[in-house]
Amino acid sequence: MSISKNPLKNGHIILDTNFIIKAYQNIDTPYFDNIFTVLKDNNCTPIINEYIKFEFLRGCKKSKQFFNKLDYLKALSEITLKTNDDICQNALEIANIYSNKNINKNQISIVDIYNSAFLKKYNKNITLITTDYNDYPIYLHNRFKVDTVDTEKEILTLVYFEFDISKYEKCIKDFNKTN
Amino acid sequence: MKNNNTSKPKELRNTSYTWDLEKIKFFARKVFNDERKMKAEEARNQCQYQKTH
Repeated sequence: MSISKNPLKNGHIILDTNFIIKAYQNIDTPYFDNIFTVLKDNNCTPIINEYIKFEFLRGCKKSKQFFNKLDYLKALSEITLKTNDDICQNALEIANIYSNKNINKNQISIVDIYNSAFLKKYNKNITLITTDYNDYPIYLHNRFKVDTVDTEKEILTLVYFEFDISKYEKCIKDFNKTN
Repeated sequence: MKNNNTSKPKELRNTSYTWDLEKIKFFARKVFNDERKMKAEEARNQCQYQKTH
């Protein structure tokens, strides 16, 4: 297993939808200040992709709610990465690796699979922060930092992931061995 | 500070994000307040529905 020294330094980080939600629900606690300060001090740029944008913005009953959420997303992220053929191919391979590892297809959402596909595509340049570590199995990803946050309402586990190409190649090899 | 390392994929080059925690907090509070209002409204509607049915 090879974990870079500090993957956050001068990098880009995908903010998973659950992190974006927990951040606004706990914005006036000091914990998220600390997290954002760590990212800022590392010159780490927060980004999202079009799947995260969709997942976060869906379900608005009123236009005011939609535009407030959009403003929040714009303040919180620099770029919305777009899907392309490579990413769709990555997503399909990752989804089938999960099936090969007997993960039920309803267990990990399509958005999380696409997040992994983006991590693979921009490997070494992009990391991800999430509150649900089960969505990023360690046979494809490395957890390089874990923070536990007690907000008094709940205890959150914030996990930082990077994609591990060597693990992926092993998984693809295992998949290709099957008939 | 610009994150413009040329070894990066083009989609990630020349990004100029500036962390502005106050701006993030300002919009986050608006989203949080909207959510609280919506939940309160839903609860009121539910009560009203139960009263009339």
